Amino acid sequence: MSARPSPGWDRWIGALLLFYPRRFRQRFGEDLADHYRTPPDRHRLRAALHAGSDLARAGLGARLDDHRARWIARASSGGLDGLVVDLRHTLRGLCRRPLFSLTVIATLALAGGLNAAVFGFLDNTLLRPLPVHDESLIVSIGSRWNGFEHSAVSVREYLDYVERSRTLSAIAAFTGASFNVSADDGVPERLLGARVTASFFDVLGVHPALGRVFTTVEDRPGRSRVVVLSHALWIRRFGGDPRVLGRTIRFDSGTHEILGVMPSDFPFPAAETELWIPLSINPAATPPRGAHNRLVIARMAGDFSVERVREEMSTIARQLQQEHPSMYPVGSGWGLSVRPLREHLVGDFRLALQTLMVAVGFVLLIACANVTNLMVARASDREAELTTRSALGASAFRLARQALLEGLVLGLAGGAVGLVLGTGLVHALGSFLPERLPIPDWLLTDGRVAGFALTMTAMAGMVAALTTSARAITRHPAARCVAAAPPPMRVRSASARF
Amino acid sequence: MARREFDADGGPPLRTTDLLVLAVLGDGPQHGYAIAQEIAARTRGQVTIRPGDLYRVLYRMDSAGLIEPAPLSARGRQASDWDDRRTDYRITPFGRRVARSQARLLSEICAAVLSRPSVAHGEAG
Repeated sequence: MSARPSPGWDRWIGALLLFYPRRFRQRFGEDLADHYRTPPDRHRLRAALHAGSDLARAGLGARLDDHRARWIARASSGGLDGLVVDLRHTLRGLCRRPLFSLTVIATLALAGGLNAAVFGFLDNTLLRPLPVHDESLIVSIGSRWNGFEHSAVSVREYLDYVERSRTLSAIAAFTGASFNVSADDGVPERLLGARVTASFFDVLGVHPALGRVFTTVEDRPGRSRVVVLSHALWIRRFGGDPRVLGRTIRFDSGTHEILGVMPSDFPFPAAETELWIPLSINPAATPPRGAHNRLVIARMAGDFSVERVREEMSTIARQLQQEHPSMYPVGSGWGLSVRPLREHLVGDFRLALQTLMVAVGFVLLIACANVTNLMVARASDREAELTTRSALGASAFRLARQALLEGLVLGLAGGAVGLVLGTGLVHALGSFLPERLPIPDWLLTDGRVAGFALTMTAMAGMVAALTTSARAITRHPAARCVAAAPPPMRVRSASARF
Repeated sequence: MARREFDADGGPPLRTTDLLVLAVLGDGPQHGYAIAQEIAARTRGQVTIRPGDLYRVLYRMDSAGLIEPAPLSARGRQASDWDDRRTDYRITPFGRRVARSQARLLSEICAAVLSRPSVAHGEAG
């Protein structure tokens, strides 16, 4: 067909074929070049440009096709099917080495449990929003004495604050109390509750889940035979019956009409509080000014800051000191302390909890290092396994994914066991902490804490697994085979091997 | 198992040229030049493929397992020396399944489009 051979033209077509992938050239190069074997007699430049544009475009397109096909193959080999296979393979491998698996899980469980417990406290106290409306506006007001930063106030002082303050929109006093429920209403039991002023619920900005809370009228002395139940008490003692409203509950101090049920996440003033009854302050017959046995919280009026409230409270304190010099002697260091609600609840534990969190973070790092050591100890087994899989065609991506899966499975198992251990730890530690600190419950069912602990241990497991396998995975398959080959039976010297 | 770019049980529609190549090879093995001529003939010249594009399509389909080089014994025509230099291609069983499913898919798509009066009769709205 090529009547007049033209080396220049052939070279041009040959050069254009370079746009195609190498595999294409090996397979189709000659066939394609055949179509351009004969250079045209006329308009040769134009024909050359035409061929150039056609072949360059189609060649680059063929390269793109190659990339696309490879991408699809890789995406599918990294897909769900492969993942299930890898997961099954991983689980089988771990079951074959129970001692190794259990040791790694136990190591991660210890570190995960510690992390879960401390994070549980940290989350409940510092991170999670309090179940109140606009907590930034709520403050706790206390007395400051020499040696006491924030202690209880007396009823008379509380009445003075209510009367004199202009920066606070609502002020509430309360105190913890216990109540004996008589056997008439079922099993007799002793309940922890709180006596609170009617304004208590306004200050916190919470509404009952069922019914209503008591009014200022019902808070007056002689009118206070009413009670608001906690959600837990309502479920436990009344089976969650909505017809409980209007019924009475008999305490050793008398019967009280049930007005409402609070939401399940309302832990004030303490997590164990199960009922609220009116404090019923009688302004005409208050206890002595020196009886400091009430706690006070208040909601700031919208435009005022904590600093402004502090200034006002200082002014009120000075007035009271002038009016009752015998009650607040100059050397007593008396004054009024105003703290944001969360600061009051967490108090001095903020720094301690943060420090503890960092410390247990290091424990997790140490656990991660230990797990890495354990994995290194069985690296030779692993190397042989990786070599076999590589020889069977597994890509570095698949090998890395397998290593990550193994770390993930071990990490999640360690994290789950850790959450059970952590729950025990929380309850053991809880008795040493002040009542007002919310104690996390069953960590495994706490989404945030469980998520944190499982993520931490899973990451520790994956980092350890990947670190151990990284060298074997990234090594060229041929080098892997050499490395994994059994050593020669007898080696006299290094040179003798070559 | 790694998923193929083409799927006999559905998957994304094939490009027109790919389907035409499969249709031509469905009648028997052909070499590249003949495939391009046959496509032009079957489409009454509406689809013409330049050599560079034709081999790109053949390469792609060969990589995907839709077609394969045909051995000399499989050629139905009289082979000459010149013909022997060229590679003939034939459709694979997988390619045949893909062609069938894709043709069905395409006809359903066309039927769905043409069933709209606005498209079929050029009505507005």
